[in-house]
Amino acid sequence: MMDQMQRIAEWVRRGDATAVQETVKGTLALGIPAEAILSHGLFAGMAVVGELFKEEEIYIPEVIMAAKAMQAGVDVLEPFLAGEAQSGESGTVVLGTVKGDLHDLGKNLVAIMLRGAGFKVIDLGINVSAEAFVKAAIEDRAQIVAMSGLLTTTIPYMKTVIEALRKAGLDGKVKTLIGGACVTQGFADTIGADGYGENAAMAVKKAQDLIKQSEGS
Amino acid sequence: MDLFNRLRNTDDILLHYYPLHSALMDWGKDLESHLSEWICTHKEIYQEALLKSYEAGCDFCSTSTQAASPWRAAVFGLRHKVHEHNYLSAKWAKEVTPPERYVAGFVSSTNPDFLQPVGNLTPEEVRDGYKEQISALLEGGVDLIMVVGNQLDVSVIAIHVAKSLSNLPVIAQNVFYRGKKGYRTLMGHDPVTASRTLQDAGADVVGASCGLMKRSEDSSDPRSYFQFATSLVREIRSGCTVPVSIQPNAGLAQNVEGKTIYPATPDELAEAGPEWVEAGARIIGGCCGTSLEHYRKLRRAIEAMGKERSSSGLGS
Repeated sequence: MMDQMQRIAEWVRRGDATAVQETVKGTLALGIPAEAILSHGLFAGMAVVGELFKEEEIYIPEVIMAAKAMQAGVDVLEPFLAGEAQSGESGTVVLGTVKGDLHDLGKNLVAIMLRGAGFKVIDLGINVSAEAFVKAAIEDRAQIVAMSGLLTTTIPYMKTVIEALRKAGLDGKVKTLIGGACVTQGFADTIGADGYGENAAMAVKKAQDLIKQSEGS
Repeated sequence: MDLFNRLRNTDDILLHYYPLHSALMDWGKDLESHLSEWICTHKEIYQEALLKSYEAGCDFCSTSTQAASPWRAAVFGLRHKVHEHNYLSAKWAKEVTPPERYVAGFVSSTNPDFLQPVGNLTPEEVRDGYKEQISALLEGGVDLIMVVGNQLDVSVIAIHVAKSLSNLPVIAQNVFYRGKKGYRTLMGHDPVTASRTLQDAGADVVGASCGLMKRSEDSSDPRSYFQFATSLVREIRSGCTVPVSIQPNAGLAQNVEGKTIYPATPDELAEAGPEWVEAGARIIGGCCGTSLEHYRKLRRAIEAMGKERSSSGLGS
């Protein structure tokens, strides 16, 4: 079984959607549960991709192709996945670039990586107001609100969003995760964010840590 | 003298454009408005900023139409304004541009989309989109096309389209980041490969602008930041035969008590400029965070350099 999983992970890493689909179908036909294929094949492949991206062995195009290949595998598995054990099992994240900021490449990459790790991602886009973050967090019952910002003029708005979440009574119920080229751990600490992701791969790790914290508390 | 002539038949060092996309905040632009929509509804301020930039010593101005591509405009519900934004930005810039200064029609990437298979766009769609944008810039009277972006493959298409529509010069710049393996574009290309590709596509000048030219663990001293730009110029120069252009940010942006500070002072930029020229750059300047005062001091530094060269018999 591990050979099959490794094969799937490898095809994900190589961004070969067709090969992923064929191998996933073949693995299902062997009687292996869909949930296992999802975790140990598809998500495992994206985890490797995240590491390679972090180490600058691969770049954005390879990450996007890997995510597409992974999604192709998820499409095959979807009818076989029961209840919560499908995409979104890791948690729900509301994601957006904060108000005043129009940069989205980093945010889009974070969305890809989070989905690749099994998170359900509500991507609100760019120039997102605090009200919109709060509304989506409530409506989609998110565990995490993730904010991206490139401009140092706009990242202070992340504090506004954190305060809005607090005012809405979500303090403690929803964790906040921030990132962006000029964001630092120091800034995250100053504004009271629960987590800081240095890059898209680290964003996933931090999101997973935050979910664990929430479950533990 | 037209730009081609100046680049090919003189040793003139030219100064880049005042970066309105970041500087307009000093002229009253709010953060959220679409750049071209704001420019097209604030003609007087736009033209005044350009005039001031020429007074400060810029040889170029930019139409600042990076957000006026069909793909970017669509994100803001402004797809129908692509022609108007590009045409007016070019026309109004040309109206205030003195002789021997040049209006650069600014073209960026297909962000938020990519060419297939990474994104959804076919080469034909990208070509058609750039044709629409570049035609409008040409109609407005630009003196050259400036292609700047993160996506090398679509930059190549933009250069081809520009060359098919006119005989004007094309300047093409990549955005580089200093990573574990050296400078790379976001898509993973090294400076020689990336610049060579633009040159082979037909660019008359290639170079680098903006970007984060240092890693987080590097010193935040602007001098070291500018030294990275110097080594980048050398690297690009080693792989290209066309003139090289460099336009880094005014240091790495810092968040200081909620305000953006680009730490490089005008004196620091003026110190770095001649080093870039020594390294082989023909067009120099600064991107985000670069003020009029930065350009004034840079202009004086380059003129002083020219005088030194003339007096020691090295000048043109």
